Amino acid sequence: MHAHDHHDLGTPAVKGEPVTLEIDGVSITVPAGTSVIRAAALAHRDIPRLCATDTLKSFGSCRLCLVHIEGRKGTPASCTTEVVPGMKVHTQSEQLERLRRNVLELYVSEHPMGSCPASAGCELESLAAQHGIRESRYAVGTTARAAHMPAAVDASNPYFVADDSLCIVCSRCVRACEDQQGTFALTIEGRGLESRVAASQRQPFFESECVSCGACVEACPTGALLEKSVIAVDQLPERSVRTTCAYCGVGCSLIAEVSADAVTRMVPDRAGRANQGHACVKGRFAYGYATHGDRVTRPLIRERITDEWREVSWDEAISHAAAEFKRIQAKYGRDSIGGITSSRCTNEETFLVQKLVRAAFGNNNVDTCARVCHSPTGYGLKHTLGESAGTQEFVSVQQADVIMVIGASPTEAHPVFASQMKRRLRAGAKLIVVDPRAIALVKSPHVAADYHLRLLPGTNVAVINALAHVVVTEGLTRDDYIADRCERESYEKWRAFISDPKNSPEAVETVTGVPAALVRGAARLYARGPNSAIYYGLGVTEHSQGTTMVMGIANLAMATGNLGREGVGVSPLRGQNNVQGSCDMGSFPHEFSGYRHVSDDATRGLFESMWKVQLGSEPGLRIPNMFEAALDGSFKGLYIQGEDFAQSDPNTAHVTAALSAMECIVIQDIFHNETAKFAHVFLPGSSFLEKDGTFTNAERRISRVRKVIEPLAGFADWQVTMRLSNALGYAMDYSHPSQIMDEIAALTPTFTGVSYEKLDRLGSIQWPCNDAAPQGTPTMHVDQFVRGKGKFHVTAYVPTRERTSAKYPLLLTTGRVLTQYNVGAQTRRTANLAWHSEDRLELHPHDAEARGIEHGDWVGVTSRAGDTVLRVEITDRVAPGVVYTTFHFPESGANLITTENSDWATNCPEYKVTAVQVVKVAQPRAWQRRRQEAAPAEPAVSPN
Amino acid sequence: MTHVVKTADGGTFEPVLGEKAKLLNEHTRHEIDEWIGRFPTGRHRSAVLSALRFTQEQNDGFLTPELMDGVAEYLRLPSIQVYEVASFYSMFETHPCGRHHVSICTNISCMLNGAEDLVSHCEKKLGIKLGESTPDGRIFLKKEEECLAACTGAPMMMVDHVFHEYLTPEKVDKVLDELK
Repeated sequence: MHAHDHHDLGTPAVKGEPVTLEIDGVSITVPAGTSVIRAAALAHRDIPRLCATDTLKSFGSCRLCLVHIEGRKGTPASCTTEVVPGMKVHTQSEQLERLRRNVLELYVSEHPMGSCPASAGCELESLAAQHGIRESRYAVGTTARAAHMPAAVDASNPYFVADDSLCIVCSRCVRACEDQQGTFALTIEGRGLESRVAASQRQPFFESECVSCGACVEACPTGALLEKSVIAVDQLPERSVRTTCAYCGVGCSLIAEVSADAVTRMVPDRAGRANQGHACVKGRFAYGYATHGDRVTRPLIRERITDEWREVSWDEAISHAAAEFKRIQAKYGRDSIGGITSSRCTNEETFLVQKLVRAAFGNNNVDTCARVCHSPTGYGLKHTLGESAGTQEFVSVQQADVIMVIGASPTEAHPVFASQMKRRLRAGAKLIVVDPRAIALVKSPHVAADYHLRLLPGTNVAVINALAHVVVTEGLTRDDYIADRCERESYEKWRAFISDPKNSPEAVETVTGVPAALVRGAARLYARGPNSAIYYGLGVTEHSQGTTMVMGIANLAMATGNLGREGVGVSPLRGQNNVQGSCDMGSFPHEFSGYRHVSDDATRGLFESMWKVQLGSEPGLRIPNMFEAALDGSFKGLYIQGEDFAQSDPNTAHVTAALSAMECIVIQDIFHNETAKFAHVFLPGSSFLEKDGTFTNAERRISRVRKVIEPLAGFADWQVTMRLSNALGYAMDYSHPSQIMDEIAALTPTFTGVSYEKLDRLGSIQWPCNDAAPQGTPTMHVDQFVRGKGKFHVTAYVPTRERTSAKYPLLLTTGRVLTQYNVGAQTRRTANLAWHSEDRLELHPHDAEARGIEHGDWVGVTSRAGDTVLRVEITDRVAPGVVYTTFHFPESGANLITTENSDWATNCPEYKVTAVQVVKVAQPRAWQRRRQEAAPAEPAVSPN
Repeated sequence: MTHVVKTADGGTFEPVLGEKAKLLNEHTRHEIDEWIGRFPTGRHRSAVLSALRFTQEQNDGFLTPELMDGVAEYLRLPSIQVYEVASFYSMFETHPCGRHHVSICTNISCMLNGAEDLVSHCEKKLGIKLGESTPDGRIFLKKEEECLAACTGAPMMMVDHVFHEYLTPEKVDKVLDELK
């Protein structure tokens, strides 16, 4: 069932020349290719239908949407009939009414009136009621189908129920699974009265190939597929609120349906530009963490981290935190404290935290969790193209001829965008995957990689250089584009460098492990496009040469002319809902909002006059520098909003030593987490459901977050930061986040045209949005690069210091799984645990055999930094010599083994390469066993 | 491990011989390749029907989920696109049953010529009901067969893929007794 406030138009929108026709005497103009049913709905002459919905191509099976068309015989189905200029359609007549009534009666014979829960909003029952049908002449008492096969209710999926007896076999679910999601898990099995919807080979949904995206549940016109949460309330929602998902960087627009101040269902917004009416198992279903019993709802303080927490009032907690920060600054100096912004919080909240640090703390010691993921993206793209963000909007992928995915697993980490990508691939686009692991895209239903460059972890730069080498030496560069749009000098220098035979695929084959012929083939495919688009993830950035790799990608795109229009571009797939926004908002120690350096006098002057305070012109400390300063004894206090260093940052032992050395750590979070164990003040945070604000997704799209329920702890995060600032003596006075956005717009050239009023009007806005682009900017660098001329950078491959040796012969790399999210603070507190309840180590069969390890054994994983124990999964998804794990559970201790190596430019940690040894062990370490026994009552981790 | 099959319009198709497809024996795979070759490039899905026929034959009369997965892998299709075909057509069995499929037509012409008596005769002789198989796994009495377009020879039945017409109880006995 689609969202209750959605007016379903029957078939999807199409593009085409305008066509004017007449429906029941009403004239309407629609694009050519539009169906009659959609044109009629647009003319507010809705035609009854059951098998049609506006997210799916028409199917023409239910025979309800019949109409009369002047000059045509019979009663054609309006969903499969396209409009024609001058067409005259009649949607109502005695004959049509009789036909529809009879068809409805036949349906009701298999689905008696009143069999759906009232909350299902059953389309069949309400249509039948509208046509005055109370029961069917064809079946009284029982249904023919019930006589043919036993009713089967499948409640195996944690979030929805499938009930055959309510199914009218309209195939909407099957088509949603194929067209929208691209998983091909559903079909209609059997024939005649025995036809029914089956997942995989008539398996329970949970055991089938279903990925629980929920598209089928939304597509179902009856209660045959229905959310358990909807069945439980059994009433239609009292209200609906449009908001933005708080999981990954796709930033799906969602509609929260609410009854009795509780969310009863999340439905993707069909008008959402990013998600196009789709959602995934996290966004659609896994919102229950927000009201989980583990939520901290009262402020807590303690003198020493060995003391018990004490519940206090908000006033006491805020004044205590302020007094401690003042005491520390008086004793150790102004630079002895700092703050951390969160990529999980809103733009407005992030902006306030960095304002607090710069204006109230009086230093620039502010950093963000984006440090550990996409900081190389910001740096690399800024220095080549001129702007620290992806170049496209998601729908651009529908224009791509060649898609290159580097170091990302979109079906797991960005599933809604992956579905859009798969749709384009099914339509014929070519695919190049650059990844050490055989990610799902390499081979999935009707999608297969044309090239899978299965490189060894840590050799990205060698591969991107080899690709560029082929392009340059085989004459595949777009010389006119380069001459027109790029810096000549930088290009010639780069060209000389990249042409060197030492960068050839043949020369680096032994380093990268990728056969030269594959690299050559992939390079030719990419260069010839004609539209080639690169999408990449943390497999690019989280390396010692993360920034170099980002620059290498930009070089390749510039050299082949693949920037500045739809269907091409360089698009980072951002991991967190607001990681783009937190970077935009000035979360880095050296930059104000809009990526302007603190040493720039004009910019600083602007902020000083608006904020009425003097600001520092020197960059402050980055997160790793804060830890080092803490160990030196010069950094003593930290305000952390929504981030869990102790679990998410590399080399846990180093981090915990630094945290222990501080005198006052103030944590603002929705759950207790690992870092909170070192904190002195705990300020309860608010989830995305509890506040107003905006998130900015990976497309630079600013979308509204709207308050669905009141904050559990009484205050939204922005209000708490404001109170802390006031207690410190720096006045902040906002009554609504829209005022904070107005301040951001006034201070940030790329945001000057952004306001809540405009966001409400347009739905969402992609920055830059200013006088030059009042509606925002879907595609960047259209006529020229933001920095003027594109700049090539020489990207010499320098191997990481982290190398295999006899002692550590395997390379560990990490990633995410669909149903869990990052350190799992949210998803582990939802039914998503049913799919993934522990992290496992993937090991190639050869490496397993050599070590006498069998599937399911416990194995010890040891690196130069530390060790942990994981259960093993033997699979050829990884290549020999490479092992892989996810990092969603604290007891996995993945960051006990990752090292302190980091990106040369931005200190982004090298999570993706760690040399390890793997040996069979009897059981997990003692601390892991304690952890597992204590779970889930033990408070675990933060939402970052 | 892959090999290349020539398609009807001169293109190619590469079947996948992974762990699942290895359940198909060499003869079955050879036959499937033959059928892939009868369709244009990109239309290998059309070979599902024949692939299932040979796969069922290989497995003595019925399909298993593993075998259908094998067909899907070999033809590079989602497994549901094999399963939906297998569950739709009456000549495929997706549950264990006897190796010889006996289908007695009970549609109008055959019925008028005594098909129902033949069904009772068979049920009595074999000790099983329609839709069941003999305990020795020899004969599967198909549930109900619709018209097989041989009304001129009514009553008739199909045993495996062979039509037997103008049936009498004696003729039925002879046919059934000869099934190994």
